[in-house]
Amino acid sequence: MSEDEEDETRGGEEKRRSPDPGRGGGGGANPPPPFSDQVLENVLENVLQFLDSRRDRNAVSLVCRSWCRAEAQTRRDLFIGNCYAVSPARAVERFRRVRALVLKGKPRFADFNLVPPRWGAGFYPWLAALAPAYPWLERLCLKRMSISDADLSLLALSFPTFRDLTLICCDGFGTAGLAAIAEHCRHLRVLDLIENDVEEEEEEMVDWVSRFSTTSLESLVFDFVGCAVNLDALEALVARSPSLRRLRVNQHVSVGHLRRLMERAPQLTHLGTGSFGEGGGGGGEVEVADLEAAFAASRSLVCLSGFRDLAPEYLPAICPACANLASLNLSYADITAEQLKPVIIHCHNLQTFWVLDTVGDEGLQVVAATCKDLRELRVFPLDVTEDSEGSVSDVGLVAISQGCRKLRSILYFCQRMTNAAVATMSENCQELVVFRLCIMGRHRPDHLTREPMDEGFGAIVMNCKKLTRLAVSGLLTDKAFGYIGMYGKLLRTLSVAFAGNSDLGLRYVLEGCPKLQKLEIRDSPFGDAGLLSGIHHYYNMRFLWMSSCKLSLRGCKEVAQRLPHLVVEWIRDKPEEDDGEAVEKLYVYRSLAGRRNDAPPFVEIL
Amino acid sequence: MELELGLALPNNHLMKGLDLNDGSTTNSYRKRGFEEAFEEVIPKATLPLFVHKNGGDGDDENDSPQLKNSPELNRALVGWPPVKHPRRRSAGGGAEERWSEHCGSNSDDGGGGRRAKCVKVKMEGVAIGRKVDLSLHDSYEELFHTLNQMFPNMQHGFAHHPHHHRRRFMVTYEDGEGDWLLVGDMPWEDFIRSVKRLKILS
Repeated sequence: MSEDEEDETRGGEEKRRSPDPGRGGGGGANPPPPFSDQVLENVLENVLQFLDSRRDRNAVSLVCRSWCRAEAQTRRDLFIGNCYAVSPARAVERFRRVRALVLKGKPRFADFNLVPPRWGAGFYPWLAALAPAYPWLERLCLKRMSISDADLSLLALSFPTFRDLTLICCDGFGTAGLAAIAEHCRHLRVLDLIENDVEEEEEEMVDWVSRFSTTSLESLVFDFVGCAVNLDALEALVARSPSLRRLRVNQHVSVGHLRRLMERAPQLTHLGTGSFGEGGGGGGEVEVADLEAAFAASRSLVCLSGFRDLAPEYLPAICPACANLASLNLSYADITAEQLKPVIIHCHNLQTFWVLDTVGDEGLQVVAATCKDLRELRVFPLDVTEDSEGSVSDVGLVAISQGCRKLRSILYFCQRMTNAAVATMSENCQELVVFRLCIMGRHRPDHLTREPMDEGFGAIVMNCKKLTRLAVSGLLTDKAFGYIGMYGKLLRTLSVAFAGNSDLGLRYVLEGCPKLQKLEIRDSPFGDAGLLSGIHHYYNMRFLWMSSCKLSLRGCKEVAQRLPHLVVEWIRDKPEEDDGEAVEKLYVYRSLAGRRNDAPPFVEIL
Repeated sequence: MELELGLALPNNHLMKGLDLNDGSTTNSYRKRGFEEAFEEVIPKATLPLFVHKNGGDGDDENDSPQLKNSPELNRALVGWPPVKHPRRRSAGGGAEERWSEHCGSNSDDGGGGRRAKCVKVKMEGVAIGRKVDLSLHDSYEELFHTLNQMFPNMQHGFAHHPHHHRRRFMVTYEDGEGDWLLVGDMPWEDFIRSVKRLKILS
């Protein structure tokens, strides 16, 4: 058995949970191999160090004990998709020479506040194990973990060659922690703070930007750090960072300051503007023409984002850069199709485009006409409510599908959709790997035929042969899940909300999708029978989330009983609503570490 | 015990609800929708599933079978539509208030009605701060009641005495000008307008 740390696509046949003494793996006190074997292992290590893909590495580690050891010695990049799936001690014991770690914590529905605060995913236990084990750790990426200022301090002091820190959707830290990183990581190249929840009282704010000690900064992203930064210090930092390629600032940086920063760093490839209008505060007024000149001078720009507090007349200033843009994020800019047009018509090479639905179907038609190379599109709603007007619809979707045939990934929020439009997209966009459609009104049918949206999503799974990620919405019956189970053979991630009729729906999916890794369901009428139909598969999955379904204690306990390596968490954050039998929130994941010891009182592990 | 059923008004985001356990039959219907946020007792008749926010307007097809038979209890629908909070905060001009699980997921920019006014509450000596939605309260009495619930160890400390003695804890607030004042000295409506955040001192 290979005690694999997380892997995106572990098929059922490879994952054997029963311990097998014949096979090695980390953690065992095995006697050292004979000399000749040692030589072979050394040779193997020299070969394996060229292997990058973690799936290949996982396969290698299954060959035999010797290969498993050799692979463990040469793995530099460790990916742990669920911080509770394995204990830090065990990970560190097996992989002795890790330089880079990716660690993920809370389930994705935590982004929508379905996971109560203080649920877990604290970074400290990992840090405590990493610090002594990997003194040469260089890169760390944490997603949905809780990390305190003290943790950041300890991190900064524990790893003298530390280079890259990426924090995505994390919480628990503030500017004090950032200051520690800035000050003590002398070789820092990357500090990317992406959509974190940075708590800060004004009187506690620290001027972290002044503390940077590195001269090799390549990337600084802080577009959602809420507090104002020392702008002079930022400018000085940019000026002394010749390697800086990526800079994304928060909305406290005005257009005036932005222009100065751009002048200091004409070599930037990725730029996130702060406020792009008059309101930014300080920095002085900037003529649109001057701003445009700044964009013309930045010849290396391939990615633009930000545009918060946008004054629409400033937007055309980016036109000189448009022809080279591969990625444009206008999803914080409340603009109409008319305002989008003069900019987007220059973006012939655009591959990634994020936008607000305020541009409407008309705006999307212009995108479709120009951006022939588009691979990823995300359309976000301005008005995030169920009963808003909605400015994009099936019309926009069809236009995109006709114009952007190479589309691989789409996230589309709307209020009106038709099966025909979705089916058209499935036929036109054969490269689709990710299809996420959010019809914001719950249980909403095809707005023309009044039928459920079964046929549309059915067409997607049937026609898009490369699909690995799907999010469904609208009025859906069990039939839709039947299609998913029948055709979604490569599906790894499925998100379901307010859909289905009965346990059959869940059964179709669990029985039909062999590659399913992540299943997140909310407010759907799936009960114990549906849950139990996945028993054969849960060890192959990273997690299952079910909230506001029809689960009961009996079914959940049975799963826990029959699958001892599964952690079955009953999250009871509303004890006053508890009637003792219904399980309102269930989070299930495989683990080599058994039940965690840091579960808060509202989590009961069955 | 009296059952009070009410339909939500068509364009009204404000909540009306059942109130079985709490003997009060006051018209503080705005409070009920956020009960779970303030850990007050929820009437047992509440369904765990959510009811449509809008009352009469929605198409029939919009109602799912499971919702049609539910009592007219409207509650905040957490996390739907599924948009991450930085986006909710910033898109369309951006509210000053930071979104938390207690406020803001039920976006209130449709129709008339008061914006959720969430302010931070920190208690001296307690590491973790909380948030309270002031727009759901009509008086200092109600506010103190909520604070009592949030900081249960201080249960008996918040009685609102006119002369502020015999009170173990002081509730202060920061106003628009950055000054820290004692809560309770001015009319509720004025207080609501100027308060930025709360701090509880012992």
